[in-house]
Amino acid sequence: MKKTIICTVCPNGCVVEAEYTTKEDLVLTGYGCKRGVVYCTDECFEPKRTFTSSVKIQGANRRMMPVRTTGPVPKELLMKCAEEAHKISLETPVKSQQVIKEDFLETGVDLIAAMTLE
Amino acid sequence: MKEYFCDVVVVGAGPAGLAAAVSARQSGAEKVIIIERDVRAGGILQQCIHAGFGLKYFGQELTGPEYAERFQVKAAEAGVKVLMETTAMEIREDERLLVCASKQGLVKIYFGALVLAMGCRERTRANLMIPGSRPAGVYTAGTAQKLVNIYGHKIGKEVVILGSGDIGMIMARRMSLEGAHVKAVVELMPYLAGLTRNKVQCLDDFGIPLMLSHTIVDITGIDRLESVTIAPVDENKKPIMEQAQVIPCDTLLLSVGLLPENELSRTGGVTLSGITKGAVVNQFKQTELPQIFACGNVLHVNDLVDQVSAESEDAGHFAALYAAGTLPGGEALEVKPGTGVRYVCPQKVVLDGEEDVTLYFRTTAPGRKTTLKVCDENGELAKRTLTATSPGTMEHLVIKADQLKGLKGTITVTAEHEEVLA
Repeated sequence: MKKTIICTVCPNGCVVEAEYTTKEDLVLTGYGCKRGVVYCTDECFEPKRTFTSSVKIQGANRRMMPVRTTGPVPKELLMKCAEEAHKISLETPVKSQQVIKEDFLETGVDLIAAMTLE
Repeated sequence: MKEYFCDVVVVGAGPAGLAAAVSARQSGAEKVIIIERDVRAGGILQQCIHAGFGLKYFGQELTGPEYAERFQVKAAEAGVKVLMETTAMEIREDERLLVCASKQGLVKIYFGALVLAMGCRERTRANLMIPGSRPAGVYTAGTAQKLVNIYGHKIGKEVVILGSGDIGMIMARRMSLEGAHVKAVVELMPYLAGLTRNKVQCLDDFGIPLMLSHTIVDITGIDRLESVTIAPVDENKKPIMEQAQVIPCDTLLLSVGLLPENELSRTGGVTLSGITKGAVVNQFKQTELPQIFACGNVLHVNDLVDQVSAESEDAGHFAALYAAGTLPGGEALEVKPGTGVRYVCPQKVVLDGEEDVTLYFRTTAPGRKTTLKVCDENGELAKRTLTATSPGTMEHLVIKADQLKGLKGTITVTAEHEEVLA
């Protein structure tokens, strides 16, 4: 199988060509760094994305607080992550990087606060 | 009335202002004050809850609020004073005075140097003069972003986005995750306006079609938006009405460009560029009024906040030197965009500078293999060849410090495509 991937690891946006039948014989060309190799391999077999959203918070001068996952989650779980985030309601104080949901949806990564609200 | 006396005053506590203020302190300015009209520092980053910030500056992928908070901490540690809920009203450059308004009333700030860091604002429907009725449901993408991400409002269910700018694409993903159906992103130009990474992650991931060389020719609905009419455009950007189609929707987001917010700069008589809509500056980010500097999106609209931070640190540094009376002046040469280049910032280069000078510019059209070149009267000064360029991606070339003294005539930047794409 042949695939053209635009690497999104950094703003350089390398155009990478992938050719494979299985994970073992994958050949990548056009990447600019090692992180690109990891990203493009994932992109062929199990695409992942960092999930970000905002969740309800009480006691701050804004109604929503930004959150993100500590690492990428499988792409097909993004909508489920969003549904789960809608159920969350927090109260101040919250510190940036504080864990909101450990092992978020059993993805192995945590959902953390991305802002300090006191 | 309150009066302050400082070495450097910075207008705006967004990413540009915070970086400039920290850098001014580090470069020896004793009293540095930031004026901010909002209740919290961070500027637009507060509502940019998506990841992708900081890859260059911190070598780490952060969300907007996290990126902002790192600079807020730096500013506090550096002893920068931030006056919140204070609006800068007028610059009186002859008195070196910035007139502000706060809840307590008039605030007068006397400065050695002033840094403009007010950022930009979005172009609106009025700027584009889209015909049709004027129902609710038409938002600029950034306003929608604030309503959804900070205030938690549901703004619509069936969405069309005009313009393929980054905020528009990011809102396409955000609205999809919030359960809305994004029907199309419509772009007048034959190429993407924003970054390719955003097309991949925001449109392709959610199966949202991108309609290039199309525009909106009508808006219908009395109280609430009911539909938009989309038509392809010919090579002169003229809509082909015979091929127009009606798309029912309740929400239209506009992501059609950003304009530097320079009303304050005008009160002080700062010379603005007709192309960037920001101040005309030299490599020190110094405007034609020597005590006034500019950085970030109020100077020229950037793609990446990392770039804004780096550029603003320069502005803060040189503003501190100016306030201390140690910034070089003297003869400056003009920098002009040549073939294939839309604009270059800075527009002037002072020959007595001691550092390398980075020229930032955008090309006029996307192309494959492109050679970027900067020349003066004597010939080539720097050159780079890239596999691809696009107007959506800012490029740069560096004039080395040891080349400065020998510069002659006009400095010209060119971009020659081996293959033009559009």
